[in-house]
Amino acid sequence: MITFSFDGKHIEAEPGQTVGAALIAAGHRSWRLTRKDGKARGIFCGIGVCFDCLATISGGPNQRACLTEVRPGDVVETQEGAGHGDLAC
Amino acid sequence: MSWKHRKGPDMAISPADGSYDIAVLGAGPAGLSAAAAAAAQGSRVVLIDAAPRPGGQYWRHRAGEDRLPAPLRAALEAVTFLPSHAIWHIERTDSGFTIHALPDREIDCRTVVVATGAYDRQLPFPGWTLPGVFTAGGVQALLKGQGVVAGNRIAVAGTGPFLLPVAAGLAEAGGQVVGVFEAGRPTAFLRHPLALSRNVSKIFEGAGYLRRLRRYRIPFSTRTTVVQAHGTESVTGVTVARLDSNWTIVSKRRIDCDTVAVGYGFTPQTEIPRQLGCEMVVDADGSLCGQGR
Repeated sequence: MITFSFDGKHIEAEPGQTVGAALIAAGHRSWRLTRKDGKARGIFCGIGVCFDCLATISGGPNQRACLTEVRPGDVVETQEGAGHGDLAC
Repeated sequence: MSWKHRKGPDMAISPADGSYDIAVLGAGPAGLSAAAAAAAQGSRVVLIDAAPRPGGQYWRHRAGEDRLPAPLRAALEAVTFLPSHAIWHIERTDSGFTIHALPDREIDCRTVVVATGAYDRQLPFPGWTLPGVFTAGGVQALLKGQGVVAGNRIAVAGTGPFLLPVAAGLAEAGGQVVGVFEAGRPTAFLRHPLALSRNVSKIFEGAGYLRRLRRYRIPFSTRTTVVQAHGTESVTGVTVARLDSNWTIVSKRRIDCDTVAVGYGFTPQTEIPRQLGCEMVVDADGSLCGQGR
């Protein structure tokens, strides 16, 4: 097993597993809040088409959790809006 | 060959950048076959896919498994394979095309073969954006590709034979499938002898799935579908409606569940041919399809 963090929690993944699958297996269902209404989103299509499952992964926003394989030590964070809040002033 | 490519900003530009005779977009059954055929004729071929492993949806497999037919697996040795690459733009050039893909690649080619496949057609309903509502294909991808059952109590809904293996697979993996709700009337085609005679093996395959559903006591309803998903943070239940032959709601009932797998057949992924200005047509089932150059 490899481990990564999600919003500060330790999560285990099997080698080759995607971030989205590992989060679902750990009982998490959402890791993004929509831009306008802050509604929770997680996996919908699961195959890289719909872009609903975007997350901030190791500092990079807008990563498709359903396609991105976990790397040991990844830091996955719930993405708020477009994921560029750090640019707001 | 580049099996070990990992997606990430630290990945160096490799010799895969450069010039090819043929770029095949999509490493499912069609793309793998096209790449194998082109390579066998001596073409320099690059095969690009967004997923980490070849096989597409049909031959989806877990890391460490191998589900590809041996000839296609062997053919991969003769091409440059770029998994985990997302194509975001293709431009026409004097000598063909330049493909722009993430992470950080520009690939020139004389010919593009689009084999991007299809994804679940959706009919939106109230609550369809709640976490816990998945496409049927997404639930299948989690199971086949990741070894993860998407939920505990699962409603499977939509149209078409794909719903049956999804429900059977979930049950066999330990999920509780509260029902398969098929909006159409799948026996309608039995009245068309030509369609029937051409698809005898499919009928046996379908019968096999129905036997598997019965083994797990999964209710199978026709002319019925999910019309609403309930919950605030995640799915807590669905409203299932009985439909008449025009898909007008006749009656409704509520079922407790935490997961919905829904799909109304499949529709082709057409972003690339549309971006390239290919002529598009509407297929018999209402799908938008590419046609011509």
